Amino acid sequence: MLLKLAWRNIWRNKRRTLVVLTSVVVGVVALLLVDTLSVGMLKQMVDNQINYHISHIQIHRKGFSEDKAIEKHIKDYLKVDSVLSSYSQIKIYSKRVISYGLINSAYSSSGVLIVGVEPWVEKDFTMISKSIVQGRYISSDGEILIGLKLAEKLNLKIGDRAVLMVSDLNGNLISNVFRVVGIYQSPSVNFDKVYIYITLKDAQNLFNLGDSVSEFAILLYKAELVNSFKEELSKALGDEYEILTYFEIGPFIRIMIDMYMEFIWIYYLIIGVAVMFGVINIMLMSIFERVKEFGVLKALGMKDSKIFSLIVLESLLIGSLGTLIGLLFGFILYVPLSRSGINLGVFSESLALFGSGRIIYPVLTPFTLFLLLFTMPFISFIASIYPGIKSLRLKPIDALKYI
Amino acid sequence: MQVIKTENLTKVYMENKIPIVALKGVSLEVQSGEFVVIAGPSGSGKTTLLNLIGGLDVPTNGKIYLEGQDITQMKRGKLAEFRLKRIGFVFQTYNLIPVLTAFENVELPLVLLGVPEKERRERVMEILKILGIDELAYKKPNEMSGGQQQRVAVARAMVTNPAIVLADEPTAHLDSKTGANLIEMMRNLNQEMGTTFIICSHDPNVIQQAGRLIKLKDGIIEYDEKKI
Amino acid sequence: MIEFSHSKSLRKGNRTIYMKLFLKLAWRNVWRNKRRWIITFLAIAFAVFLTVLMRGIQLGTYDYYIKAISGSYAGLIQIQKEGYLENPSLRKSFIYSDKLKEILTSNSDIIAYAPRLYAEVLISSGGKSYGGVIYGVDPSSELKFSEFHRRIKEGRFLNPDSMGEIVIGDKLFKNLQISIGDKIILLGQGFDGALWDMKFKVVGRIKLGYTELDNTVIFMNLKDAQEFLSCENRVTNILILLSSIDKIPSVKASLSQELKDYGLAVLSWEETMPEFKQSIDFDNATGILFLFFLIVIVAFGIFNTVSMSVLERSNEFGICLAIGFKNKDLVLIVLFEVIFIALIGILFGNFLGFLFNYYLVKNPINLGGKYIAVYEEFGFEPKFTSSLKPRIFINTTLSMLFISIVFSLFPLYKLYKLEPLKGIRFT
Repeated sequence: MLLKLAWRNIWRNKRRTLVVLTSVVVGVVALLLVDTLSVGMLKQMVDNQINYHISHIQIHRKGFSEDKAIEKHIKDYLKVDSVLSSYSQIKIYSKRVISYGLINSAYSSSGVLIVGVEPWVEKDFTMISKSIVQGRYISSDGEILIGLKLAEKLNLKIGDRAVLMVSDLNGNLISNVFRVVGIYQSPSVNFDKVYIYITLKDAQNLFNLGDSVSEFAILLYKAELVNSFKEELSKALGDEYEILTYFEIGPFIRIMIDMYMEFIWIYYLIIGVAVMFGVINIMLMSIFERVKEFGVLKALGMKDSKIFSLIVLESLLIGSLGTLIGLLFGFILYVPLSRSGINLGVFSESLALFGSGRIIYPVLTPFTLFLLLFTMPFISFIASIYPGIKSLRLKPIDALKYI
Repeated sequence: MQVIKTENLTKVYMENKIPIVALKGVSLEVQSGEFVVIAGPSGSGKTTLLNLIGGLDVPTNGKIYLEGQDITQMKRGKLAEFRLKRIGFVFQTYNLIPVLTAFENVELPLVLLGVPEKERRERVMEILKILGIDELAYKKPNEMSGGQQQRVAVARAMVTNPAIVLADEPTAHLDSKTGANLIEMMRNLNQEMGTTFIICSHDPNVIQQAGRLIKLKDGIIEYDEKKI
Repeated sequence: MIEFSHSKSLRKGNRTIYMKLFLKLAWRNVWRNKRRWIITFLAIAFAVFLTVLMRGIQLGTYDYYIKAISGSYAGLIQIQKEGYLENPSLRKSFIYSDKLKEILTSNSDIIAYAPRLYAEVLISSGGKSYGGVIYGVDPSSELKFSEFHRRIKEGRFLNPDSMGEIVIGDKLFKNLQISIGDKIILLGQGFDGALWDMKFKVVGRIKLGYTELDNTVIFMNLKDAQEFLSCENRVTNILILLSSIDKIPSVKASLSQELKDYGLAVLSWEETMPEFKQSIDFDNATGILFLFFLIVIVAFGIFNTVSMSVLERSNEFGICLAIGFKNKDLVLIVLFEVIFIALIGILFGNFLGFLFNYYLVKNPINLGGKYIAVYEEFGFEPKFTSSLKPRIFINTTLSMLFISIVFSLFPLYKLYKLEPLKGIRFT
């Protein structure tokens, strides 16, 4: 019954209530958009890292990640290969040779990270093969795939020759000629400048590695199992190896995620307080209009606590109703955006720096949903306390003072 | 001199889609200096008539002439100016602006007319004195009694030396003694200054003081009697 | 009975008297319902305070970042050969002439400049090879320009007369597994296209904090670089520091004019580090958007307050209209009330914001802990500071004032259309 009374009371002054509702709606929609966009951006950064190179787990000889020297290759590659093939959680894994070198064109030279891969495996493994902007993915020896930024820098086109120069396992300076068959473009400019692809065989020959490899990269069926699977692997493979999850490889992102978690609530708080002022205002206006009425209710025997609850309930109704409508509008905006994304082309260069790509897809997490559902009702609850207390202390005579 | 003339004044308004005829073809003439009381039961249309004469409302049909001018043809701005200079109003209640003192309330029309400060001060104090409320000059309305508030309202109505003062049930919220005093004061002003007074009331004290009594019933004049 | 003296001056329109009355009425009306206006005032002050604080932090921190990053890595302004930006290579180097030096020294806004020669090379020692970047620098210019010499972890930085000496990045040093004093081999492609290798002695290890650089940077004396790369008297960039960031447009314009005939381009940090500029723009835009929402939400409250206030005084307004006020007079009075409250709130919010910003300018907050790693990526201390630029306060004030008035327009319009009888209560 109290609920019915509260509901009717809110609508006594339609315009006033609608205005406050609108402010709640605006607040909720704003927060929804800001939050989902931030999360979307972060998720894309992580996904891009995983999909373009890192994958879920990487296995190296211990110490490799610090210093990608060719000497730190995996000697016991056969053992690792057999261990990995026994696991059903692994969707696919790939063998790579990775080390530094210098690439020379007729025009210029640049320091690069040479990645030797098995094309038929790697093709489905990462997004690189799907990000070819000119030419095609490598398929046989003697071919090389480079990033767009690097191609621009070295003035290389499809069909051109490039020389790779490295210091091999024995310390000798080795060079070899390759033909550019493809140019790719990833969301991260820094990636494009540095990573080049040749066949595993070519790389093994170049560095004089025999059949050895530097890295095993693994993609799991379920990304969430990454940490527990890593534990299993460590036990199975032992101490000589370092087994890294994508989080450990890219701490930069982890930190950005932490920053987001720590700061996002501030935005909720600020908007919440702004809305709170409006709610307090109308609740106060509303109780002062009803001074006589409260007097009558009290005379009829209604307890103070009930009157207080009534005020709180009215305020909560406004906050909750506003939240629901806000979420409705928010979803109407969010759903198409989550499909088409927001094109931030204007900021393309800096987004390429962050590695998130120029089209950002907003992402709604349960955490965000919770915050959205909780914030406004909570704020309106807090807002009702002062008016609630005031309503208990009102005497009908006071009504004359407030014209 | 003829100060008010109405011709066939009719006012119809809609209440919940039902047309209500407040006045039916009322025609009358008032000469300068008259002290007219319009009496009648509620719903008889007396307030409507007063509002029409004061230019606060627009008739459905008919004409109103004040000092020879047809106010039904006047634009809003000109009408407001006319009211400011030539008409004074006293309402039943809530006449005064709560945040202003008595002095400030009374000088309000003069300020709107652009009268310089020194002259305003002289006139306001004069009129306050006449009405016997000069000690209240710097008090706000919530510091005065009902009767005092009404006297301030009369002072404000008179401060521009208007041709007509219109009062709608001025004694409605006052006790009989205060009410009688108020009406006597208004009668005195009427006689001393020659200002035309039109007062709506069903208060016997007021009716008694009337120089001319017009009785309205159901929107038409029942009788129109000159007394004194 | 005393006769009224007829005033001869019963003419209309002494504006100042009008205005004084309206202002008086507006001011007193504001104090009538203290509680309601106090809440509105607090809301406005809150929004203004937050806006000023946030904009201060954003703008102040940007300036700090710009100085820190551009300072050492790109300069506030850079001179390059036309076309170098799109396609950096030794072929697009230019002659570092005395005339050039003269032009730069004669400009009073330029407080320091440093010539550089960049080239990508292969560095090897004892069988290990890595890609590196030569930073050919002039040690005496660099001392005035950047903080490099302060980041030496082991050994020393280059001397003005150093020959055959290099200082390499921390990670590179570790990867090569060498010690100070060791000799290494550099292999690179010179200006003429030929490949050369040359031995150099490592005299110092430097940690810049920017991982990408620490992995690859090789500092050597400009003269050495020019010799090694067959680039006699040539440089690829000249980095310029100015007395203040605001001087960038004017210096860029005058330098462009003077250097036109040399085929040289004058670029600001915004062009040499576009991703950085855009990060700033992005953050700036999102900040402004957020604050806009904030102000709008507060404005809804203003709408309600003004509406209520006007509604409650319908009777009084009706009477005013009856005795001779014009509707536009009443609109003006209520408008003044809105402006009074808004101004008080704005003033207070600005004041509070100013205090906080001032404190932050004098005592920047250092972000500690895990955030240090993020910023090490970019090579400087993570800091929050603020700014006292007047435009922060001015823009905020104007926005709040403007929105307050806009959101009051509807109730004001209703007041403008009010008819006296509609206002006055009928009993």
